[in-house]
Amino acid sequence: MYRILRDPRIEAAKRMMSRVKRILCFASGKGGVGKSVLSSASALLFSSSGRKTGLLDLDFHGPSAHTILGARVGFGENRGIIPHEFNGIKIMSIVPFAGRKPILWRGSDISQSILELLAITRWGELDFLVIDMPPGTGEEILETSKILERGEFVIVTTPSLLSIETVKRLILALKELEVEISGVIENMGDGNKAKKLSREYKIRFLGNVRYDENLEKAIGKPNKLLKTKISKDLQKILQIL
Amino acid sequence: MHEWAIAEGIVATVLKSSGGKKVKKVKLRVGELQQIDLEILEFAVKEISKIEQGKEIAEIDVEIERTEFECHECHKRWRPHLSRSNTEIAELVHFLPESSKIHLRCPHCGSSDFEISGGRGVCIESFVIQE
Repeated sequence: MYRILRDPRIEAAKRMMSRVKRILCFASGKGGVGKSVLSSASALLFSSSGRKTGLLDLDFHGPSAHTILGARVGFGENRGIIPHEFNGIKIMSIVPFAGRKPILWRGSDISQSILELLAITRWGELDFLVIDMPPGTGEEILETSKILERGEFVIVTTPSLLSIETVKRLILALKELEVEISGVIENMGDGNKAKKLSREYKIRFLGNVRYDENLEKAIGKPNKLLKTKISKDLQKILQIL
Repeated sequence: MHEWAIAEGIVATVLKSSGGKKVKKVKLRVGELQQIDLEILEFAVKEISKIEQGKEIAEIDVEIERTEFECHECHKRWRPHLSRSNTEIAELVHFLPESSKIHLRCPHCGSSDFEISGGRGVCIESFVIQE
């Protein structure tokens, strides 16, 4: 007899994502830098170019991917939960479980819920699973880096010193966790600050995304979102990812 | 019906720990909170193990762990009765136990800051390999 006292969810999560070719985790050092817009728009761009795409919003305290895309998030059941598709994107988030209610969770609740969602969500065959990570270096980064051995982190910053400084901490944390960093995107800037950062921390500069004053009008409207400067710039970045 | 997903995890975990040897028995501790259908879980473990190791895990021992919540505010403990009070919430908790902290409150002080101190999830306690 072997005593192991193991949680079966880690292996379950690996199985659920075994047919996902690439997992891109969009992360930032602080909130408000446009990470959710870029991750949602990336999922939309992948899907509109015919790639099989999933979008997982792990920002439990401030889920917004569904609002950005105008999607109604839900799931069906078949030996696990099967995310409903919206514009060809399989979307999963905390929204079907919480509705509009506040989520007053402690760190351990977040860890448990990430593991639970990853262990029971059947993504099927995907070219890309885009994950919108919450800002900072909390439980979510630790937990996902443990479970997602194949996750590639895409770091999002603005040119603001506040963002750059927090991103530096995030890069160091990811390096310590030995996870793959795809590179850094500068949002709402000309790219110079992120280029400097990428040289300093020896990570790839992926490109910059211009500020688009029309973004607000495109929120919740995938067709309009695809026509923004954001999507045009992001398209070039996704080609080199 | 995510019992199949859990079963896949159970089989994969014991086979990874058995060093390539076939497993004939597994002992599980199953939390009461998620109201996991044990018949489906046991059937799924047997079916998946047949495929994964060519022979089913014939014996599955299950020990049920009682659900208990403990309030961080008033420190009182209680047992929720989900299936009786609200089936919609019970369904959400079935998939994601932490949903209980969104939809339920401490019956003593009304706080949402409580801990699932017992009855959460599934744990593989031990397994026995084929001779």
